[in-house]
Amino acid sequence: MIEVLSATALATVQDSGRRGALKWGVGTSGAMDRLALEAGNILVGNLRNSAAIEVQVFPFQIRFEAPCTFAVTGADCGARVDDTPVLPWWVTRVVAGQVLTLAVPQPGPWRACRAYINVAGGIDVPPVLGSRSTQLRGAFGGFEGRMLRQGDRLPLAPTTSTLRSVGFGIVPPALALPREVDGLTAVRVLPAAEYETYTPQSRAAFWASPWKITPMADRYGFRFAGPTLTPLAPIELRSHGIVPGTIQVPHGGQPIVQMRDAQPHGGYPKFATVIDADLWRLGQAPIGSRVRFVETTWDEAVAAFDEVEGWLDRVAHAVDLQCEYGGMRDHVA
Amino acid sequence: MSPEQIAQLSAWLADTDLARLQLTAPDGWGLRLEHHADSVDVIAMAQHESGTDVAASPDRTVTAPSPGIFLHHHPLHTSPHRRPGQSVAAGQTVGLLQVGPLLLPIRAAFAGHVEGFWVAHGTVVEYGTALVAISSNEAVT
Repeated sequence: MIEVLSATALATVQDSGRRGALKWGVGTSGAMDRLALEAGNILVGNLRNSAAIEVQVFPFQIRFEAPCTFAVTGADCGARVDDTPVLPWWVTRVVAGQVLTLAVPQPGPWRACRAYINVAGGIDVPPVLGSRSTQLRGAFGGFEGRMLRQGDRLPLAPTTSTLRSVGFGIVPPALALPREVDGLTAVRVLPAAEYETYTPQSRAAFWASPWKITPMADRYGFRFAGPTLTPLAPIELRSHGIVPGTIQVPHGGQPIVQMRDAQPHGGYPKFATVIDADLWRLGQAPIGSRVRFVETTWDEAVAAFDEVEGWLDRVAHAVDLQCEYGGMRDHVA
Repeated sequence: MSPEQIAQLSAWLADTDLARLQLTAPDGWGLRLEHHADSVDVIAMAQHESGTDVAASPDRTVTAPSPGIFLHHHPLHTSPHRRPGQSVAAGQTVGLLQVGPLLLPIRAAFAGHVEGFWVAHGTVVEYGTALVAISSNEAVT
């Protein structure tokens, strides 16, 4: 068991997401930074889609009620076990009673905003429709279908990974797979159904301008501020299916990118779609930061997906070798 | 080890891209084979105090446990784990070795003070490259 000590809002249990349920009108949910979640699971010896705690508001604090192995991935939030600093993206062992504290994300080479606490075994909440992710809108999945609260006690699945080595880490994907334009986080985007119905100036400005993430940005979607996107003629649409990554343009001409808790349908024009392989970059971009949208093609989007999976495979292979031959099974905290 | 075994190891090394093969027995006896363009030199190593003394380095030097990229600080950080002049405890991390996607800790084997780094942040190092000089506490006082 791990106990939530802090009274911080917006932390939820998330895995890789609830795929295949859109046909029933159930959105995907899942970690905003899937690479951080899955790499964290690899580090502690879990299945890649095991459930972890996604932390969005800091400081955040938990107590381990039993000895276990964990890794904090995602944003570098100056994690400490009791009073001892632990490195980001690093496997650490704790004994029963130790307290993990995540501070506000640190400035550094990578500005990020969400952290993942991956514990060996994974958070053992019941799967719903094939996933342990919290579905906030429907109030199911995750821990009692809601955000975590002070005093919650989360069960851990049994694990054999207590014999694995600890005391090592990995290079975060933001540094291993960097993607920037003019010093800003860049995400690759495919034009979508209503793209051609916008003025050529709007289309050009979409690709050429930095877009600022407004405070109206959460797990449901990010509203951006930048040049106004103007249609050639007013567009009226019936509601239709949308997915995380869909970029809609409401009447004001300022785009919204749907994120992991996107509802499964909407009626705004679909200007474009952030490719799945780059959605984690957006999921880590803080409010107030600016990003660039880069036009891509279907083939490049598929190749980008393979690149992400290839990185996860290389990490898994290296971690396996380290655990088999690394021989650093130190049992200190 | 027999001369035939050494000849066999030399032949195997000559067929690889590796620059060096080193064997160290628990009692400190050692053998080093250096692979050059068209020859392999056999160098017998004298018995020494520490089984990790590879680069004829001072006693108080932390050396690379494997090839990799030596980092003074974590890639998400900007300041080194320990700065020259700072004290270190035995087992404390004084740098990281990046090996592929992995980051491995470089730990001080004994308590003392960091004298300095032998190689710059981001340097590609071989097995046995001297990384960090540490002076013992006795020497400081």
